Amino acid sequence: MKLRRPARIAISVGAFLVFWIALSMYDGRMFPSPAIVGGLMVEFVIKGDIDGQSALYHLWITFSRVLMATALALGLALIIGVAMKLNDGVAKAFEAWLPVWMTPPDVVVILIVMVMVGFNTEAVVLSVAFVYTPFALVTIWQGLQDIDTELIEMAESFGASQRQIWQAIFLPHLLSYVFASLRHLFGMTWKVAVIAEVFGISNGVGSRVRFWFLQGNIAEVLAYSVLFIGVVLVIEYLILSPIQNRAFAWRQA
Amino acid sequence: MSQPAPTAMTKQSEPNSDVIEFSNLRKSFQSGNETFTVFEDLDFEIAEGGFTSIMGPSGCGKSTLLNVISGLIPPDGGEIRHNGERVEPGSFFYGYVFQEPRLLDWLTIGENIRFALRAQEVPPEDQSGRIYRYLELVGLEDKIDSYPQQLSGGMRQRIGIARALAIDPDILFMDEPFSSLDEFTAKELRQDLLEIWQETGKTIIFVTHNSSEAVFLSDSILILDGNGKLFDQVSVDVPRPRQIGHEALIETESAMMERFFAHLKTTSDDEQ
Repeated sequence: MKLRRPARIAISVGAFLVFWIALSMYDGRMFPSPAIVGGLMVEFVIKGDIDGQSALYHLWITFSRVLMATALALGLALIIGVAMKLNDGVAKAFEAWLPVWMTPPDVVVILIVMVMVGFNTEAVVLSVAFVYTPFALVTIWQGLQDIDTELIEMAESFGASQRQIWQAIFLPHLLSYVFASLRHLFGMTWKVAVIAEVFGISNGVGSRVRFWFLQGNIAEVLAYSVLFIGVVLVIEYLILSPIQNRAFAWRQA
Repeated sequence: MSQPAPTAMTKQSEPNSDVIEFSNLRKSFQSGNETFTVFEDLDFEIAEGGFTSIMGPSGCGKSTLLNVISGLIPPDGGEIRHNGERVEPGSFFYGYVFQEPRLLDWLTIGENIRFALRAQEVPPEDQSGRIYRYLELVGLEDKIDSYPQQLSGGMRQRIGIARALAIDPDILFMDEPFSSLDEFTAKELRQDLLEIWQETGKTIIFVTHNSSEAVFLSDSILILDGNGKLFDQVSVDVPRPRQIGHEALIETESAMMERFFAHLKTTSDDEQ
């Protein structure tokens, strides 16, 4: 029997809530019930947290950092990727160093950048961008290598300039990789951004998580987590996914 | 050394028709320490406004020859003359139709053709008119806003032809353009290609390994053997419009293939 999509979503969300409620009945101190967490979410959004700021303010701060870091990582990956395509030496150098660049633990990067830059937004953005640029670069580089050389041959047979070839073939081809990379990055950058905030920033979701964690209040920590997850999912399904469908309409034959 | 069969000499080229002559054309590739000769001592001529096919078994260097004529690959030696005057390889203004349509999937049909027009620096104000005119010529003007993947293989190949013609080239190069289509579609496109050719008066150089296709389409067929030797040049004097399966076409084809297989036999005997 095949269920429709809304029915499937309702069943899996329902099952999740039942599991959560069961956990809270088992140990309500460790696992505050959905009702308590939900109440806190509403309270934080409408009345604000005890620092006087609405949860929406902290969400926005974190989200803007994520946005900047993602844009920076993607921009750097594009610049480096194109340079790799244009110059063999650059390609060899980055191919050799990419694995090294991908290795340092996120926390180490965050700590070093914070020592260097200070405990501020710039540090969060720079460290997150540093961690994820190589991942974006791998996707972009892959895209540049997957290009159909027969199309380039076609373009050259018509006398297309290098500029026209980049404009009409390389960039549109890359766009699908950029988008794939963007969605992938967006799903990951916020995690590291929140970690960076936990380490030593006075605003953003991470800072509230740290505050409530230090008070030993799990319900408040959960309330912020659920809020943030909600925002990420809304962006993913209501913004990125429709944009992608529209931008790649040519694929739906 | 080319030894055209007697019938090939009855070429219909009147003395005043314009020709492009190729003599002693040679091309080889270096692979490691070995030199691989694709072809050498090729002598032939192509009538302007005519339909010339280059035929031969797979891997005989047909496409390489096409690339040398077009100037995409420089020859190692030889001479090209246009109406008696020596010209550089690659000085012909050509449009290229490939075996696959090679369209840009992310652009609409109209924009795909505009791509070629922009590459040729056709003034922007002339582009839209030309796009429509050549789409009309291949019967797909209503697909101007569709994307390539929404069209059938045959339609995509028509777009490839429209794109090559839209730049208004002197020569249309076609590299096995119908070989990856099903036979029904290919048949239809051959018929249409002849109409388009008659309408536009372009010089067409058509590569194929399909002998009945070559005979049906061409005025003249250059036949390469497996060693890159031009061993026969056949002119097809059957009047147009031609009917597929017309007796004279079938006779021409079977005589041509007979000579080809006889030649294959002698060359393989020589090697033994």
